[in-house]
Amino acid sequence: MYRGFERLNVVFTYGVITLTVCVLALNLTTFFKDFSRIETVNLDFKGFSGFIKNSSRYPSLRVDGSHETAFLTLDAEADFQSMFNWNVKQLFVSVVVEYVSPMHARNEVVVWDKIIVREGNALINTNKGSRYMHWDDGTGLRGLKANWRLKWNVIRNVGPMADYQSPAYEIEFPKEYSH
Amino acid sequence: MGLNDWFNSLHMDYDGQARAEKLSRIIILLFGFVGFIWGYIIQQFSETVRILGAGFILAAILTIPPWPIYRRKPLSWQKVRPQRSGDSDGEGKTKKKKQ
Repeated sequence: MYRGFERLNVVFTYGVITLTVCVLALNLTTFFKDFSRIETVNLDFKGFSGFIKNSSRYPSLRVDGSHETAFLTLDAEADFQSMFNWNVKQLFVSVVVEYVSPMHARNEVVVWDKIIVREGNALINTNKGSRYMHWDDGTGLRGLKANWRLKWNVIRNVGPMADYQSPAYEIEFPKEYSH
Repeated sequence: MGLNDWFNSLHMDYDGQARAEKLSRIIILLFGFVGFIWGYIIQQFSETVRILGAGFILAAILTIPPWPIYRRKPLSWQKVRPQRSGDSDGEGKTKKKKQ
């Protein structure tokens, strides 16, 4: 402590230690928050419409009838405002379709996602159509019964990242191709 | 280099160093505590970090430069004693030669 640089070192170190304690206390105050349920305005997978094509979205790939694409229009509304506290940085919300196909025992396809930052709008509404084409590498999509879920991933400032999902909702794919 | 000598001679005494370190710790702890409570109230951790940063700057300004209040109790060194002629070897040799 005899020279100025020593005093600067000591004071700065003490500041960093205090910041560390504040960060740990931040984690402790938000540790037990339950993210697995959303109090929703309307978690309702209301409407579903779609069309299936036996072709590829990209014209450069061969159209050989070996895989299918679907464009789904889902209608779901949810309100994620209650998920946020001072430890949550953002949420990653996605809509997935789960089903069994002859080629794979379990398929899970993301058709819509959104990042909700803390200062942003926490209401989501997916009725503008899916964001990603639903791909399948077989030909079994016609008339298929699938499950439809909302998933969210909580990204915290301090602490672990965790995945949560909503209950499943059954949908049925259209029975015929459309062109 | 008068300014350099003056600058190098500014040292805190031990009592001043102890007081400065204690004061810096109290300031940082206080700002950290208040900052955490305020951040919890408004649910923004960035404000906590900013308040803690302001506390660090205040503690740095008050305790790092060697202010005169930290130099109030210098150690009382003994005065320089003039050497007596019989004690020193050099003086004795000189005297013998003179005889």
